[in-house]
Amino acid sequence: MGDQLYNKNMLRFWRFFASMRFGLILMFLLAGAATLGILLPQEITTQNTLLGQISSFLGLNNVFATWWFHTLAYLLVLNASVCTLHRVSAVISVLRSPRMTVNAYDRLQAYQTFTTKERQQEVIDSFIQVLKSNRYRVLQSEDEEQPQLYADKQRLEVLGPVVLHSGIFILALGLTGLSLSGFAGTLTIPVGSSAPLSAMQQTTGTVNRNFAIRVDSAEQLITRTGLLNTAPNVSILANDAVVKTGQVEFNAPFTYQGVNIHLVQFIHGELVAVNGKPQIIRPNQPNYFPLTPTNDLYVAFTNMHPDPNRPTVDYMIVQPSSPQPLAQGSLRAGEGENYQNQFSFSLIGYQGSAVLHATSQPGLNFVLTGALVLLGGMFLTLYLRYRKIWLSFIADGDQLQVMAGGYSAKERLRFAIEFKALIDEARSLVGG
Amino acid sequence: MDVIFNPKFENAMFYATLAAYLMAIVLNWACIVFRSSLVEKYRNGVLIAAFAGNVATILLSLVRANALSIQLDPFRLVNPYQFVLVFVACIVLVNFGLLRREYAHMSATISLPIIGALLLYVVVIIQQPLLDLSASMIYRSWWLTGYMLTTAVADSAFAVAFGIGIAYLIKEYLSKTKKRGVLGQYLPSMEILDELGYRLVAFGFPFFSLSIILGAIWANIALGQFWSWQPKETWSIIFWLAYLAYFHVRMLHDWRGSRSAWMLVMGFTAILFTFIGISYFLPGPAINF
Repeated sequence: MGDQLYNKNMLRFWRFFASMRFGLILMFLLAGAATLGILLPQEITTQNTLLGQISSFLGLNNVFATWWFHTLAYLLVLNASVCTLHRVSAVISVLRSPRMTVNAYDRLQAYQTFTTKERQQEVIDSFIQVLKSNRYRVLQSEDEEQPQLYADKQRLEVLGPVVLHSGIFILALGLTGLSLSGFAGTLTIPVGSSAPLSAMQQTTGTVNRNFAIRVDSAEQLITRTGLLNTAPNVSILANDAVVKTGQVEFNAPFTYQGVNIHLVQFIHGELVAVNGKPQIIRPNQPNYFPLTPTNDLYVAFTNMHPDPNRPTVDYMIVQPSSPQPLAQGSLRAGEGENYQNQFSFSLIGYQGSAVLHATSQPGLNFVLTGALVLLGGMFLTLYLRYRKIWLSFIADGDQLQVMAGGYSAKERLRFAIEFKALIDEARSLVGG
Repeated sequence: MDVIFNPKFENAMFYATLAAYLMAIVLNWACIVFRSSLVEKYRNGVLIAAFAGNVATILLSLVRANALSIQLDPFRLVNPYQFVLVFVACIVLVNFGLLRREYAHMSATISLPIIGALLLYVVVIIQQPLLDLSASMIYRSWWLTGYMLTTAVADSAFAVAFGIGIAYLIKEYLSKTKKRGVLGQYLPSMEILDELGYRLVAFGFPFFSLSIILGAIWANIALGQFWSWQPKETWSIIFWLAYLAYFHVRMLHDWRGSRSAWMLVMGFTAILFTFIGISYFLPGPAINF
């Protein structure tokens, strides 16, 4: 009794996860959550207001990274996977052994009956000929007293949802792999300088490669429209030795050890060095950098004159707690300051810098395969129309009654026209 | 030969195309009212001329862009202006290529005004790219061109389905209020309209999915990340889920009739908002096509 109840509950649970209804609910919830993510200001961080507290608790300031958003997405993947497993045997049986006979022809979507005086075998042959010429697969029942024909077309449609759901599953696997083991981040490297991968900013994931990128030079092409196409030459440094060189261009990443290095932007501006670290400064940007490791002293660069030949810049040394600058002055190219004999900064000159985006995406091939499988399933599901036709031949004295019925789940009106044309074509061959 | 590379020539071709489409809209409506074969002939002629002008404008913009940056890469769609031109041409192709003649002219009563509105959007809002085909190097990619083409095919199928959805709702209103009128006689049965709407969405949806994939591949190559939850990306995934739900509901609950028609109408309205509205109403960076 206990086992039966357990099995019954398990079956109910399985069916619930396999149901289209559950999938639909999840799709609407995900769509709603994504809409929230767009419409709600994602920068609400204040804890002081009720809205801020609710927002913070639910993660509404970063919806797409919340546990509940990910849970919804994975539940949808689970639903698609269970649904596939649940239906795969039914799909195979439909493909391998379709239902050859029907009893109630008049209940089918399309239905016609007529009588003819032609011989039974000739009528059957005529129908087979017409159906086959219209690219139907024709199967004949072995009942000699009341022979029946079954014909179908584009039956691979039934495989479509299985393929589509499998695609979603593979896609989700790839995305999980990406989020668990991949990393991404941005590096801004002036021409002639290098930076280790570990110095990347706005990083996601853990950087597990130990090499540096050096921008050796930058070739510039200027088109007739004034469009700049810059292609920096880069070197990969491992233990200060060059291990690979190449060029990185827009839309053409450079790859080393599975890390793709993309050129996102090539910026020109004044290059300063703060405690020996090169930084590009540009007008209308927050050009301030920490001087001390404890971030209690900053150098801010203002009033820059980005003249490639004679660049200058003003500087201020500020403390976050004080509105008044502790020191200020002006720098020309090649000049520098040594504040309190501890912290140094200088204006190196006017220079170009490559903004590089480095990514490691170990699951990407899975993602792309999943996307292709999904797409294949979609084409099978939406571009094929599985149609079925049954024919029954009943001898009635010297006459033969032909009953024909057909079914298509999609585009019923179109199928009704097609069905009528098929039967009319066959009737024109046999009379009746 | 120089005239081909002259932006003024392309500009003139664009405005001639716009004028021809606007004339086709008027003539198409006149066909419903007057039911004259002569008006039909004029409409067909003007429509063919408009489409030819549309294709010529696309080719001119591609040739000119190619000449401007010949040392870089040839024949790629790079900006919203070119996208709108392709989108408009696809609406005509889908409308007249997928639907039987009598239904095609019926749905064109709504899809042609959409074309007019899109081209006026180019004139009023986009403006500058009409002459300026320069674009950031990041946009010069075959993947992005593929994304734009598949988006144009998908959106055009949804645009024509939108027209069919509107026709369904009008037909339903007329049959409920027992008014026949000119429109009542002109529109096919509700069953036919319902099936046509479904067929169009079913045609467009795989292209829509393909466009999301191609866009993601381009973003990965150009920007180093294939998905960043930007508003346009997020809206596209929302529509993808909504259309996916539409197919499931149609299968599960045999969702037909007015609910299905409303879905077609709302779906395309939302897509138009994503294309045009997001750049103006929502903060943050957005790709304009």
